[in-house]
Amino acid sequence: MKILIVDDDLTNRVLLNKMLAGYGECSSEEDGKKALGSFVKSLYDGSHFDLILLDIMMPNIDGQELLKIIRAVEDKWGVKPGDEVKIIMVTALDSPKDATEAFFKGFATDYVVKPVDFKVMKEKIDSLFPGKAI
Amino acid sequence: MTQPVKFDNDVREFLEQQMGVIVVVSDDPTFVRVMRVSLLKTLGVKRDCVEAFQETDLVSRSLHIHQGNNSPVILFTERLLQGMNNADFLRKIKKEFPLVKRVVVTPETSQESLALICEIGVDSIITKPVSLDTLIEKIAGVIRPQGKISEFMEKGRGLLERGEFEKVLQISDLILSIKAGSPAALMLRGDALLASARRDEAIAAYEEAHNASKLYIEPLKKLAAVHRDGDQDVYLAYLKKLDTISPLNTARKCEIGKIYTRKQEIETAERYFHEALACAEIDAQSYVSGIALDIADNLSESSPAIAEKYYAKALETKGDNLTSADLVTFNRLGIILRKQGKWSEAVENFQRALKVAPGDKNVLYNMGLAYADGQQFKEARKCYDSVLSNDPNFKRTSSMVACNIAYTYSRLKDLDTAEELVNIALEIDPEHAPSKTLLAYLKNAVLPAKK
Repeated sequence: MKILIVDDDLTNRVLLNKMLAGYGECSSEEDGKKALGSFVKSLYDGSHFDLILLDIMMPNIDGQELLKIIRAVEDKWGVKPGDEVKIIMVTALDSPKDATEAFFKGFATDYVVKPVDFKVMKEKIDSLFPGKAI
Repeated sequence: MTQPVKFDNDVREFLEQQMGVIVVVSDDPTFVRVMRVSLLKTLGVKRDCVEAFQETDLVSRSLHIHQGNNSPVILFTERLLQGMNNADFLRKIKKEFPLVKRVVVTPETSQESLALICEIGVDSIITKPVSLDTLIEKIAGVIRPQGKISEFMEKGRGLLERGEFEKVLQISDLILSIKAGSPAALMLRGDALLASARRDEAIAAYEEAHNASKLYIEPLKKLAAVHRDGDQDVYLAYLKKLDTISPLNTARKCEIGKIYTRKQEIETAERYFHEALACAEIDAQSYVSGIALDIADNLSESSPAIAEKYYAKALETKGDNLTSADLVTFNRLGIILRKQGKWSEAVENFQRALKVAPGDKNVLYNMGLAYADGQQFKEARKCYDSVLSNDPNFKRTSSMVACNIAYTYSRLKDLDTAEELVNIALEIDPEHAPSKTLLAYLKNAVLPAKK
């Protein structure tokens, strides 16, 4: 599985990298603009991400904005329903509203609250990718 | 706070245990310095593992030596070197040294320019400006242990090179059993079939890869190539699809124009020729601008007035084709103008930059400094507030940044915010002299008010 972790905090990126290393190849980006670059490159290379973990509060393009752009790119290039990249929003405890809004609008696949609990994250990933459990 | 040791350890292991080498081909001294500081100072790697070149001439020789020593290499190179497109050099390296990991450094982030870089085939792209931590993280990303599919893909490519096509087909089947419809595995399959003279089956595999991933450039390139000497309409259709995905490829636009000419559709042909010339013009502008920038950089310390002229020339050359990649030039011109006391011209320059990249935090910060030079502290504060509302961590960029912002707040008598900022500056560097002076001033200024 290919995973992209997007968070402006280096410590969070390292922790999520360690947490998810067992699922496959993890790469990370520090802001929305660079993450968009990575996402688009993966499409040009034919090496799509299976899962993106997206922090909401970030400089340049924030998580909400990036989520919409990713879905618009997928829509433009005719990604079939069900084949879209799975996106889990990662939100701070004091602003879960942003994540739930994105989730209920149908853009995000799911959300988790910081500090990320490995058990919770594992349950969510395992339910999204049955058979890939670690 | 947990220390982000994982990336550090991965990179240190690559450089010290595996005797890895980082080869940098760049005309940007700042990037080369960041690379050296990241590896030699921040990570404390003892061996000299960074080789830097300003031009491409001697790079192959160096890579041959490392290949002979079995040292794994990561090559970092600019997309534009001295203003010239570096694609041919990257293609050559990919062909001659397939095991060398290639990372392209670019200030551009538009989808079109990314597509052009991906057409060459690179392992990673780094967008400038880049911090020490990000650089280490990126290197760790390039050398990280691969997943099963990537491992199989690499094995498959090796077998393909050795002509063991049946084994390649078995590997692609294996990957497809793990990840159904994997476009990369279908490409591998297509390559093996084509090399086995099973053209129709190869075309079917490429088409399946394209259908699985409409933006994937490689299958379209293969499909165009296999039809080049056959049905011209089919060939043209694939070239046009490629042009939609990656519209900055001058040679391809010319080729499309030529096909239309052969079809006697002159008006359409001319449209593509016109677009090809526009792309070439952008490349030429980049080249001239790159030379002007190089001259200006070399004169910025000794002759700021002449450097100013060349920075302005570098921007002027680009005409209407200024992009966020030109922000570095805007910032350098602004700094040179400030050095000469021309603060209002510096502000005008940064206002132009903001039209190219609205809200860019570095431009706004530099504009704040220019306003502060001109004692326009309210305007300076607006700039800083705008930066900090978008990126609250910006004040922690360096002690000088925090101190500069603190100074403006102190002049506007917002002493609490100023003190908070100057304390951040001293947290970053407890010996930072301007911050110590400002803090002493603030203490004296605050005391009478509290009496």
